[in-house]
Amino acid sequence: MTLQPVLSVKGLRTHFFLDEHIVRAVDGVSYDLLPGKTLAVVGESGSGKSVHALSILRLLPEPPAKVVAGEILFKGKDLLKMPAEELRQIRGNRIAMIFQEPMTSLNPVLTIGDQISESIILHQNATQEKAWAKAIDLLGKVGIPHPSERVNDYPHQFSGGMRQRAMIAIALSCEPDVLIADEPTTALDVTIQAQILELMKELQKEFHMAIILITHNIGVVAEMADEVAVMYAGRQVEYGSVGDIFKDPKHPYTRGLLNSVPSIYTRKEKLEAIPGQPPELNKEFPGCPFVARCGVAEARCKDQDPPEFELAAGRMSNCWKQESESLKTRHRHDAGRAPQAPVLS
Amino acid sequence: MSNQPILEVKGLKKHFSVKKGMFGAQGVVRAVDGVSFSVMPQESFAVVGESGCGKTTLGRLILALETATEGSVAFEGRDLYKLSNAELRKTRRDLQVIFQDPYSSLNPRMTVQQIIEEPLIIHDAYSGPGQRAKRIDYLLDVCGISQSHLTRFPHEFSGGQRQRVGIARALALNPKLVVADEPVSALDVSIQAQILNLLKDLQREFKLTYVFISHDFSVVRHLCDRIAVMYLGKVVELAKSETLFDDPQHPYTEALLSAVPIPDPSIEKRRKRILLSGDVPSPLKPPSGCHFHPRCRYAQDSCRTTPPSLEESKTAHWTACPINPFKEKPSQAALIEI
Repeated sequence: MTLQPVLSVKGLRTHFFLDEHIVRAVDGVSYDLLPGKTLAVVGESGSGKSVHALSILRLLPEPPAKVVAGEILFKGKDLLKMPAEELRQIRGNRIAMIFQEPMTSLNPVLTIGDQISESIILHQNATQEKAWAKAIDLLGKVGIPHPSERVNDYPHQFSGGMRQRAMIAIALSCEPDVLIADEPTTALDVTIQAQILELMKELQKEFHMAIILITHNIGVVAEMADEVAVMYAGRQVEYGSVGDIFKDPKHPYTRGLLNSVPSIYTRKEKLEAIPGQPPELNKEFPGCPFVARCGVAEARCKDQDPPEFELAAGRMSNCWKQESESLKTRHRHDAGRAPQAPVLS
Repeated sequence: MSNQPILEVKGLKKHFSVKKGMFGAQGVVRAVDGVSFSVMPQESFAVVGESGCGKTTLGRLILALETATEGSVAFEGRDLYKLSNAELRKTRRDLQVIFQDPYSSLNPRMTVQQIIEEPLIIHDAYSGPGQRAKRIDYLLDVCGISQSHLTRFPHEFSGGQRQRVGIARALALNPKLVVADEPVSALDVSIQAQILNLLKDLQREFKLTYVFISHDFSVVRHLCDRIAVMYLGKVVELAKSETLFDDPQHPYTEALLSAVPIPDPSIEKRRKRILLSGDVPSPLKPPSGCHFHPRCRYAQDSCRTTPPSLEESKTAHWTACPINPFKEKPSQAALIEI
C-alpha cells in the first residue's frame, strides 16, 4: 500500500507588501506530509518558518501579506483557492495549530473548559453537556490531574506546562489530520519540554496525526522528526529524512547550523559558528541567499539562483555543489512537484 | 593561578516577602536559601537551573545589586555587604554583568559609542587625552563590532550585534569578574555559537572569571569548568563540568540531563528519557524535607522530613542527596555511550 500525502505544499511564496518595499518572508517551500509522520521545519528567526505555517491556514492579515504563488493541497484540495466558509470547516477541525506562547493564545476571561468545548460545539454540532464531558476527557488525556475540577479554572491558574497541555487539548478536540505546532516548547523549561514532547508523540500515535513541527531547536528536531525541511531567508534550502539530514547534510547552511550547536555529550574547544548574519529580506537577491556566509561559494552562487536538486527520492538540496549528483532539477518557485509520494504500482 | 578564591559565597539567603491577596497573610519566597561556593580566578563557574530556582537572584546578590537576608559575598577577600558606598562603587569596576536580553538592556537613546563610553566616564577611567577613544577602538576590535557602528543606535542592530555591544560595555573597565545572566538564550543558534566563542576568547584576553547563569546544559558544558545545579533556592549538586555530565549524583540532575534533547537522531532513538512528573512546586510553599522529593523516583520516607545538606559524596563532587541512588549503579543519564 502506498500512502497519499495528507498535505502537500508546492512552491509556496508569501510576501508582505509594505509601503516602501516588499518583504519576501516565504519564497519557495515545497514538501509532502504523510499521515502519522512528523515533519520538522527548521530555521532561525526570520527564516519564514512561522509565516509559512500561518500561510497554510490563511491566518495572515491580507494586506499586507499575500500568498503570491504556490499550492497547498489538503487531501487533494487547494486551501488557497477554497472559499472562506469551506476553509473554516478545516481550520481548527481537520488542521489544528498550537503556538509558542500558551498564555497569549488562551483567552484569559474564559475557563479552560469553555475554550476546549467551543471548538467541539462549533465543529461537531455537539451539545453543551457533551462538549463539556469531552473537554474533561481531553484534559485527562493531556495529563492534567483532576480534570473534572481543573476544567473550571482560568488560564492564569495553570502553569506554563499545563497551559500548553490545555492548548494541545483544544487542538486535539476534533481529532485533526494535521497538527501544526509552532515552537510548542520554546517557552518551557527542559523538564516540562520533555513532558510535552512525549505527550505529543503519544497522542500522535493514538490519533494517527501528521505533525508539522516548527522549531529552531536542533535537539528537538533530532528527537521528534521523521522528515526535515531546512529554511533560510524564506527559502527551503534542504529537505530529507532526519537521519540523512544529520548524518550527511548537503547544504552548507545545514552543515553550519548543525556544527554550531553545542551538545551535552561532547565538548568542543571551539564551536564552528557561521560568520555574519542572515540577509535582509526586503531586497531581491539574484543568487543564493547564503552566499555571503558560505565557505564553499563559487562565482555563480552570487548571481545564479540555485534550483532545487533532487538527489534521491525525498532528498533535496538547493546548492550548486549538488548539481552533478542531481536526478531532477526544479526551480524552487515551481509547483507541481511530488518528491516522496510514490506512484501506485 | 593563585590559590585564593576570587569570589566566596557563604550561607547566602535572600527571602522576599509577598502578600497573598488583599488582606492575606504575608508569605515568604526563599529565592536563595543557603547557598555557599567559591570561585577561583579565571575559572568559569556555572549556575544552572529551571525558571524560578533563584539563579538570577543569586547573580544579583553576587553583584551586590540586592542585599542579602543572610550570609556573605566576599570578592577578593572583602565582604561586599560590609563595604561603604564609596568603596563598593570602586569595587564595582571589577564586577560587571552581561544581561540576557540585548533588546532591553541597552539604552535606545544612546549611540553605541555612548553606551561603551559611559562606564569609562562614570569611573573616570582612561581619562588621558585620546585614551578613551583608543580604549573604545580596542573594545570594538576584540568584540567584533565594526567602527562604522559607533554612531548608530541599538535598534539598528540584530540581537547578536547588540549582545556584542553589551559585552564591550561590560569589559570597558577591565573587570575581573563577569556575571553573565543567560547571555545567549535570546540568540539564534548560529549567532549563539559566535557569542560563545567570543566569550571564550575574551576570557583568555582579559583573564576573566565568569559566573555563568544559564538554563541550558549544552551551553554550560561548552564554556564552564564547574557547575552548580539549583532547585528551589538551594544548590543540589556541585561538581566539575566533566564529572557532572558523566556521573551525575543527584536525581534532579539526572532528570535534567536526560530531558535535554541531543542533536543527533541516532542517539535520540536509543535514549530512555526520565520524565519528571508535575511542575516545579511554588516557591511560596516548597515541599517539606528535600524540596525535590515529590518528583523524585528514588524518594524514601526520610526525604519527606529531613532537609538534606550538601555533602562531598565523591572527591570535589558535592551532592545534597543522602539516599545516594547512584553509588553502585551509575545514573541512566550517563549510560549512553557515544
